[in-house]
Amino acid sequence: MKKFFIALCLFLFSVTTASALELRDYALYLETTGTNIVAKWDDTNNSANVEYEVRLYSFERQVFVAIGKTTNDTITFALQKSGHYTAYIRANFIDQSECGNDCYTDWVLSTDLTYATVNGAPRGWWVYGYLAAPGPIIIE
Amino acid sequence: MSKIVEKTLSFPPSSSPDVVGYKLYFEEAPTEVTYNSPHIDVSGTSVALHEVPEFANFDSVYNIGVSAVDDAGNESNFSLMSDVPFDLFPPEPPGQLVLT
Repeated sequence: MKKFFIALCLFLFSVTTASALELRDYALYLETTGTNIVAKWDDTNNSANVEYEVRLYSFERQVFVAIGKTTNDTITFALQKSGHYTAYIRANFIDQSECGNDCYTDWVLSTDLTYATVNGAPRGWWVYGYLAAPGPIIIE
Repeated sequence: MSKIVEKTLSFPPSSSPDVVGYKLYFEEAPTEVTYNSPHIDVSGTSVALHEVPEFANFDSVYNIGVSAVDDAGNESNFSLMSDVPFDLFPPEPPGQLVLT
């Protein structure tokens, strides 16, 4: 069983708006269910033409890890590798035939104190998954 | 040529899916093992201690620890064993044989 430890925070997550999308004020929450992480947010747009895209950034590997896109207000995922991660979220138009250059909001970073809060107070956050130690040493 | 007693150190693997190897740290007791302690890299989950050059002169009591390592270089907590007596240093041979 994977033994990732997840640093959990309750936080408010606001999204920079692009004028054409009018997307704003998501409340995003993290929970764990066993080995999974559940990210939730308040779908204030309430539009069938909007989807949310979530990704993580790995500090150690310096790569983005796509978590997924959803039209729901929650997404469930498991960390596949240990290390330190920050989260990014943005909103996209599903039908991009008429949005021109304003089909996406900017990415919002979970360590950006302009947007991220913990327990209602401005505060950045990240997720840390650590490696499980090997079992007891035996010498014979 | 001398004969060293054969000792094998082993441990159950880490349950994390991204482990690429392990590090075996050691310190002469009573010094505790830290991530700055001398270590050897271990690719599997067992080590034949008598075949490791770093242990050739071990003849004391040691603290040892094993950590898991992922592909980014992160390390887990230690699995520890304290006050382990090692004697991998062979005694001097007897003197010249004499037939009388």
